[in-house]
Amino acid sequence: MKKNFLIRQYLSDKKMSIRHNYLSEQFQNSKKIFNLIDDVVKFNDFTLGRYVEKFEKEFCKYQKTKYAIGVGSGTDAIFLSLKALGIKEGDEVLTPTYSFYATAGAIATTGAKPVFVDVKNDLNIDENKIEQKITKKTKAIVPVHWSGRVCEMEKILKIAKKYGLFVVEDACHAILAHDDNKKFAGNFGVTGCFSMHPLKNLNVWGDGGIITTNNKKIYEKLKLLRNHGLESRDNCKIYGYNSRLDTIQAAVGLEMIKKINLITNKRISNAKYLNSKLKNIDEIKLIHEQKNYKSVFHLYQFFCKKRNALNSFLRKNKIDSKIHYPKPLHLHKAAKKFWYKKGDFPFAENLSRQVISIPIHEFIKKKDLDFIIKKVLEFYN
Amino acid sequence: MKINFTNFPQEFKLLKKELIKKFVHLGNKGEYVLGNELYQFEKNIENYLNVKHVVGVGNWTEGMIMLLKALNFKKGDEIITVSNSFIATCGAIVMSGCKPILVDIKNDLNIDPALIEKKISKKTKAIMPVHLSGIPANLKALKKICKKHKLILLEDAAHAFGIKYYNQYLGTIGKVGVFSLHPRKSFHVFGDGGLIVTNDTKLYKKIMLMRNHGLKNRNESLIWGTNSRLDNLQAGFGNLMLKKIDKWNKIQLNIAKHYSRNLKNLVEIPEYDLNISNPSFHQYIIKVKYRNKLKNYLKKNGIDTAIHYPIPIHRQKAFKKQYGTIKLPKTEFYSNKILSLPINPYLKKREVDFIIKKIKQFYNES
Repeated sequence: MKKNFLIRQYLSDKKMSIRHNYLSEQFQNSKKIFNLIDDVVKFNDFTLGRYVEKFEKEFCKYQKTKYAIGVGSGTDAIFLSLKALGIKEGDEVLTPTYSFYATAGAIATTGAKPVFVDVKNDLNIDENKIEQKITKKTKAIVPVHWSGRVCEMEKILKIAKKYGLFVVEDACHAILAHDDNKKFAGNFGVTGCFSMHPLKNLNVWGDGGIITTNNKKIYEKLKLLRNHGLESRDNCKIYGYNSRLDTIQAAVGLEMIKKINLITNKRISNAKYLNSKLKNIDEIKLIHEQKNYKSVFHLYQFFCKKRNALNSFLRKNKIDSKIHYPKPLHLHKAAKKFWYKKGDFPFAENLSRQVISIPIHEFIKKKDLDFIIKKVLEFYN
Repeated sequence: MKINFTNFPQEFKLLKKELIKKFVHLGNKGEYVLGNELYQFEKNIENYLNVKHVVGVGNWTEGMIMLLKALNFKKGDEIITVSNSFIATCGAIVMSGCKPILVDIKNDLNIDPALIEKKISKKTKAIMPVHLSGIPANLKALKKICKKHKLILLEDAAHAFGIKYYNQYLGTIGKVGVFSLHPRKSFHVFGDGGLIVTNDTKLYKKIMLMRNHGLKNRNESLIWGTNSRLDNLQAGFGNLMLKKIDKWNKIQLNIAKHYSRNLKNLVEIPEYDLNISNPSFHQYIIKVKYRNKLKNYLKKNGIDTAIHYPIPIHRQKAFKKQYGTIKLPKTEFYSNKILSLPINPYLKKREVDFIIKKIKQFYNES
């Protein structure tokens, strides 16, 4: 009981030869980061130090937003955004039922009820099913740019405007992703929430997150909320939380962000390559890419027949395929308190039985991709 | 002479080799979240504190908010604590939906048990003493009150790692204790971090779920949770620091004794009883006349001091806006007299003597 489940997962993933986790490889080139950490020590600024500010500025440049606030995690980014907007007990917040638990968890932690909406066949929220879920209590929409594919934001913004709802983007997967107007994730809603968990496209070496916004008032509020509501060391303006991006992690991020274009491009080209080779397999359905959108493939996923058998077959061949995730949010025990049941969102339930993820990070080589393709073909033949 | 309040660069210099070794070891493994190192750290702390369960969390504040939710405290429930603490003590209570009921302090700067009972109402659920600067609150008296009124004793042990109260460690005496591993604490990591410790298995299991999205395993979420995990890397540093903490606490206690011996006729020195406890002096807080003048005088002489805390919580905007004006005479009185002198394991004897000399000089001149 005592060991948390991730320890076992680390061990089993280690046995794979084409791995989902590339952090050991990434770490080999870390001299510069150690120099930066030395510098953090010299200035004594382990919390909210200079590197946090530098990183925030740099992040704004890449994501093309006015402000960015480094926080403890992607979950906290969503939670703090909702808090800054005054979301509270009794309110309702719309979000897709297909996401990582944290999206709904962050909503539930504010006291609000997560009201789920079904997804489309790209696993993003179905904008046509949003309006029917809006009640008097609805206060906000949290669309998720799943796997780094921007949602139909213009339509969602229109609905939000019509009903006076806030939009908070769960952009945890979506660094550098944009729509056909080249509008980057994090610029649509009041805030954009990004994760820098070690396995994200842009990562640090522990938990970390960042919020983007173009709204100065929200920016000021978030700066207070992440640090006990402190205006200065001794003056507390409002009660707040402690959710700060560690300074040494900001130093890691500052070095990593230099490579984010390379990382993203490599992921996109790997995805395209796999798409081109897998598209002719009858049992496989690829996810459609919209024209002129930039999807950044935090995950490379497709839908397939005999999914569980394919997953075991690939893993037996030491390919670290994974399921993100086998159950939509409304089917978890945690959701029971909101009276959700099986059959509520048939589309998401169906897709969750067919989806599979294949590693495509920047350390995956062409020969790895060819091996994966070969094995997938072998399985279906 | 220039004497800083903290000395991280010196600490880092001494520990650098070990820290980097650990860093490289974990980096090569690529395990940054909830890895084996964190598990080992939690086990090591269990053994050290002689407590059944330890959970590594993001920081003290998040840990406390989670804990209050895990205890099923509802909106409007009251928690009794002090005003003479860092704002987070109250912040966590408010952010969990509960109401902080602030009680005045005694000369040891900790909660005054004699003032508690008249503040207890039907809504009171818990008492949360703060062991300020590592000097234990009067837990014996507090336990009695808790028993009588069926309240839960929660220890804010943010300042108090590795300190025994009689023969038990602080943090393990109430139902549950929360430690901070913030870089400024005596026992710390190199970023934000915290620990929740308890002997209550049910509570432990709930917090283990809550800190990681309510996840029982990778794919199943049992309750809505949040993300508040002590980084694996920081846990690795913590494992190294744990080996040193007794030594450091001892050095700080000796510095404190040296201060006390030499300053007791000039200023009000901290109140502590070595028969009950061996405080680690996360801060060494004296109470003085002409506090601000003395602070400036020391500053002019290159000595960095601090005040914990110049504005008590009940005088902060955040509190006043929500709960109006309350009076805590002793807390207010002391907030103008307290001064924290430099204390850390790297402070040299000649530096301590210099500080003492300058304080003596100040009072001889004025």
